[in-house]
Amino acid sequence: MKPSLPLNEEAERFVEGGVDTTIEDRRREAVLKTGALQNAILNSANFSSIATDEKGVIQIFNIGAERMLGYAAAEVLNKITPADISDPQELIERAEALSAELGTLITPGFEALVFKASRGIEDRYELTYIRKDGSRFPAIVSVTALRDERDAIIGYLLIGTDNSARKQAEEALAKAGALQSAIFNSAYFSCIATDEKGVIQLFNVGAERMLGYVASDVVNKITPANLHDPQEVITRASALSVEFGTPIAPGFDALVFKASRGIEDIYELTKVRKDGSRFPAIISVTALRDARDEVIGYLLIGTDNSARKRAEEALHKATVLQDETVRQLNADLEQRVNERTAQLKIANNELEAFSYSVSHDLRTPLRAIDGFSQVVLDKFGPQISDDGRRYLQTIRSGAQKMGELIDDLLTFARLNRQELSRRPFDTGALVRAALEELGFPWPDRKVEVRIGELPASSGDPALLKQVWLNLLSNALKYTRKRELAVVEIGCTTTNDAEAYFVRDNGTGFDMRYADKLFGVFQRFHRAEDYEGTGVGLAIVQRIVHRHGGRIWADSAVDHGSTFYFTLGMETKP
Amino acid sequence: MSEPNSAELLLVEDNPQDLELALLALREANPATRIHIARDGAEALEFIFCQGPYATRQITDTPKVILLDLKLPKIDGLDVLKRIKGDPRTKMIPIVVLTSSREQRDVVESYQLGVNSYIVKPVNFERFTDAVRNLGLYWQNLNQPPKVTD
Repeated sequence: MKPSLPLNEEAERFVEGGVDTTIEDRRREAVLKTGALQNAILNSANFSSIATDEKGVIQIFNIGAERMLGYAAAEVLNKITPADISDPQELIERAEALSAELGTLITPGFEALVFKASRGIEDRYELTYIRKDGSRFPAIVSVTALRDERDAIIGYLLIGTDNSARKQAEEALAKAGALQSAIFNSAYFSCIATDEKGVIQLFNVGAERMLGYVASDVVNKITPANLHDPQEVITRASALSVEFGTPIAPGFDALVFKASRGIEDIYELTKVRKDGSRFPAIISVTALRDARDEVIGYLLIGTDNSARKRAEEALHKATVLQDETVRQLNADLEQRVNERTAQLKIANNELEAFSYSVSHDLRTPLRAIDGFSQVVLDKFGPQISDDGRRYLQTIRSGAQKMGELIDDLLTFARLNRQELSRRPFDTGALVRAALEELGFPWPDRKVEVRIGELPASSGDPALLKQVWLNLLSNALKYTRKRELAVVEIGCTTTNDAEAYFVRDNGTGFDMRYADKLFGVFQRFHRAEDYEGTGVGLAIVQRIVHRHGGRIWADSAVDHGSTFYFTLGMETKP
Repeated sequence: MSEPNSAELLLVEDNPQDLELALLALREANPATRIHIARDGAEALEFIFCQGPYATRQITDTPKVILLDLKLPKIDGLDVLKRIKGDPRTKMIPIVVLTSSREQRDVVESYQLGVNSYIVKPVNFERFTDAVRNLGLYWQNLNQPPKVTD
């Protein structure tokens, strides 16, 4: 669209063109000016100007019409009537309506669009125009009949504006209005509007239902503060007073103070019904303002929070119950642990008392058996036969053997009670000490001891020395019948850890019985061949297990044995 | 065989067989030793503290050594040890615990109470007699106790 300035210039040029100042000139000037205005209107892109001859055939089709309808002027001039670009159904309806209104038959074509105007009636109506591409839009059409000097109709001017935007706005407005009204009339929340002093002006269905009042009970009578728990209103007022540093009265002010300052305010308060019963409500407050932004009232929208509150309480209760259950379970567990610990302690104490008693009392009669046998031999030896003396010796060695058994058993039993005192130590030194304790280098025997690499380990050195002592003394014992005893000591890596080993070239054992090897009182050899109590390897195994390790053996009858043990992953050097 | 009021050695032992074997060993080592025998802890304390049947004794007339079993009727050996070692008049008397118990806690507690020696009675008779004889000789003949003064 051209701005108005060039049009004015054009008009001025016309004016300048005619300098003559007679009345006729002035009239002509006015006509020219009008013509210029008309031209401007005609050329506006914001409305369509369509002029037709008296039959309706389009004679003028301006830029606005071209833009709105998608036709070029050349496509329509002298070819069609405006009825051809109007919704046919609407034409029919309009023709029918006009026929009825004016009591004469009007055809559903161009006549229906201009009939009123042809009768000199101002006509402005709404119509759907159809664009060249078939799309539609609502238009407001204003129709004027064009007449000659004799007042005869020579054509029509149809000026149209696109009504889409207004239509949409209207629809939106209608929708919003319906929504607002639906909201306001909802029974599910209370809408209470007050004037700026708090006096209730509106009280919707939801408010009536929730609070038990009818609107006439409250409108122009009370403020929403009268519908709340007074104590809570006081509490809220003092809290707000502190928050804002200004005294706030414990009444309506307390409910709307924040909203009056333009602060969004949603809070929870207890509402009191007409019958005095109460319910928790969530209230959202908005200040209502006029065009000058002055507060003219407040809108308080409330929802009944009972259900949520109950759900919350139920949830809270469930949580508390759960916590309580967990606490109870833990307490039970703890109690059970305590009970077990106490039982274990009692059992341990009993075991200790038992060991103590064994230690004391079992040895005393053995000492008597051994001691008095010896006294008999000392005092009456010459009077006793050789057999008798041998029997007495047998009695003595039986008693002594039993003494050893008791000592070994007590050692074995003590292993479970004894605390492990773990620390790193030099395995090589420990092994050499054990060998010396066993009488290394045994001058009356031919023993070859080979000591390989022995990495340091960590564990209870006193207990592990017992392990080495037992394994090495076994190796020495079972190689006794060899011309040259060979004892090999070292360390090898197995799949899980470093494994120490003691290998001998002794009598060995049958691997079929390997599972009995580490049992208490299990013996693989006859007592007259190899002495022993059958507790040694059980002690070794228990010590290794207490270190988290593993022990196993590899042997073949007459081909020697190898005993391996690990000290568990954590004791890996 | 025991002197009622004075002794070089107090043997506290309840088991008759152990008692007899101990006496055999002690006599063999030195037949002249004056030995008093107490058969329980209470009697041992009465003797040492001159009470009951021993009221006429002088508390200063202490034995040169006490051989004390731990497991005793009436008053336990450790209590006897505690009483004697806890009294300034008697704490200088050497006490040797002679017991069957190898329990570590007995050993530790005895030494904490001030025992002078702790000997585990072996089952083997020769070793038993050796032990008794040696400690009898040691405490009676070799050890020089300090003079007890009130």
